[in-house]
Amino acid sequence: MPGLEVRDLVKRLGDHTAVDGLGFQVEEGEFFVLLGPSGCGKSTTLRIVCGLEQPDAGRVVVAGRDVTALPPRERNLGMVFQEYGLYPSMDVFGNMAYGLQAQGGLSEDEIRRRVEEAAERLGLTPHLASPVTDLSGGEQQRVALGRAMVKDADAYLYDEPLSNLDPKMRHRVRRDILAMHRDKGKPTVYVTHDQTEAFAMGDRVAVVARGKVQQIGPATELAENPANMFVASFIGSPPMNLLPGRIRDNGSALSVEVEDTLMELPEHWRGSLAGLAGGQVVVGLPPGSFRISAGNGLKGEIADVEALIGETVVRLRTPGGAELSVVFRDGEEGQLRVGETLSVSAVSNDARLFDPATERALTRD
Amino acid sequence: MAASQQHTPVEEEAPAAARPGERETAPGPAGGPPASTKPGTQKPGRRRRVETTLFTLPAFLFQLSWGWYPMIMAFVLSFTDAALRRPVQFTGLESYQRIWDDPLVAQSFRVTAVYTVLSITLTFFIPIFVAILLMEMSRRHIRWMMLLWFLPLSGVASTVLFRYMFNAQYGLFQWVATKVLGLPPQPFLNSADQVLFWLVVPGILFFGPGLIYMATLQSIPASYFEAAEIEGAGFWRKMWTISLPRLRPIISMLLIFAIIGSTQAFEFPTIMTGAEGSPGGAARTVVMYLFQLLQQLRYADATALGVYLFVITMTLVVIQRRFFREDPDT
Repeated sequence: MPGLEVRDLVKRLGDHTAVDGLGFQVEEGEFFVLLGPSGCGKSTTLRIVCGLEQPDAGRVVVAGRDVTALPPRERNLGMVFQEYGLYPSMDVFGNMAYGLQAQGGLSEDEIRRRVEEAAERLGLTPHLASPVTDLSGGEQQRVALGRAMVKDADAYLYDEPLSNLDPKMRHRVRRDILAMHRDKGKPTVYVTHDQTEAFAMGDRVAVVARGKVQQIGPATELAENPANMFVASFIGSPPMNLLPGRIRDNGSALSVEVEDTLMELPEHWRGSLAGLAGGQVVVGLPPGSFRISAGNGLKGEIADVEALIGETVVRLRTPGGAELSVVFRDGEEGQLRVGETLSVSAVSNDARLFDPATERALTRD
Repeated sequence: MAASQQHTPVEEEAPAAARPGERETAPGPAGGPPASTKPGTQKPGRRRRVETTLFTLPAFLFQLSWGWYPMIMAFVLSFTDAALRRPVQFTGLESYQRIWDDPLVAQSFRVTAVYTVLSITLTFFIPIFVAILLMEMSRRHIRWMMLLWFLPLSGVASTVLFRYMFNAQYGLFQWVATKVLGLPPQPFLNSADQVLFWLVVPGILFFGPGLIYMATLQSIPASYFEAAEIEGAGFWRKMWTISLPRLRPIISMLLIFAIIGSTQAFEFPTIMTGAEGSPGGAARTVVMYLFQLLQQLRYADATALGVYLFVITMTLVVIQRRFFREDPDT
């Protein structure tokens, strides 16, 4: 089976388990992103895939071949690093041709043809003969990209390739990476801690934390239906508000009480709420789900107001001590001043519920 | 504030020139904030200047009296008879002529040349590759190997030990040659043809600069090697494309030191083979012969020989710099 598969990876670094039973599958031609905070195990996973680290358990299968025990050079992968990994003693051509020359099997003419073609597409042709140290960061990263591009690898790996670049360069290289991916039609695994990047590029995104995959899905799926409280608190800027609540069920109507405020819940929660001990839940309220209410909603003192392009992010401190992030996109909020009290109510259809004991999302019927 | 004032050259010059008498004696209220001094902006600048002079003066005087003065005087002396008890007479190139004609000088230069070539080829390049090989090992192994290989050993102690090992009657090497390899008894240091080779051999085992290579190799970002491994590079390709280019400037510098060191070889051959460089001067280097001249109170000849050696060493260094240009990238 072509594609790339990682099965039940475990990697211990001293006492710390960096990767803890992590697994995923990437289809042929799919752009797969590993997204997570630093130290979550995503980079370690990538290093295991390319063979720079050996896992304590688990398998790595690339293009139907179990490569777990193979050294990096026998895995036939293309990789781009955060720090470029270029050779300062060589010129751009030498750097881009490095992998092809190292592997052998191709004629000098063919190598030259491929490198020149890649350089043309990446806008590096005028630099082919210059030392890589003369190039800017963005150009260097494109050279690293070119080095991966000239190869016929079975899969392509990226380890935070844009982190060292300035925002403008980031967009340029991002487009280059996607263009190359479409061209190659191979599985790509892309590691980043930047959600915008992850959602802009990935066909599917895996949120990784504490060495485990928390949830895999397209961007909207992760944002709207987080599988657990970690994903809910990680995805989105600002992320979903998580507030402790208590279920009230008078038989005919279902509602949840959050800080003295009752919020009606749609009937489709009834099934999964039945088994919940003590009626305690965590309510997830997306920042964009709020409307200013007449005074019967959640109240809070305005802690700060960030006016951004097309949206305003307001942070409220509730009497119960919780922090609430609210995003207004229609200008309905008018002029807000820090220190004022604001009353908001959430659209109950947007609310998500979590079991505080397991931190998992409750399912709707 | 204070820092920007100190670097204003105009303000530095003015007070120092105005009150030259104060410069040496009063460095000013040390450590006091600029605000407490009267003209404010002037004091720190002047103090800095005085301090700079005071700190550099000892080193300058030392270099002058023990470095440049003897060097220049030696050069001057080589054109005189360097007499001790009566006024020195200028003799022109007489000493140079005498040294040029001395067959023992020619022999000592031949010995030094062979010694230098042997020691560079046998001892200079091995540590580079050993250092690169060591870096391929696991961290634990690297630490142990560094400890073993670069164990600080007393120079004199190991030299004496080697004298025993080379002993033609009861030395360890003789035992290995006759008992282990079954060869006829070997002359080792007693053979005029072999003595230089055997003098170089201990240098293969004792080589401190290897640590410098390892330190340089360790400073290479791991991502270079990792990227190369993924690209399919094996050990040799990594060495040629990453390790060696990075080591280039260091190799170049250490090569100069090694050349200077071997052209001036003195202590080790003297202890191993005696002041005469026996057998028959086969191990007598230029500096050893120079020392012999000094002991015979032939100071003018000794300095002339020294000048010859200086010129040759300098030429070698210049040639080396030509062939081994510093890598502009590192």
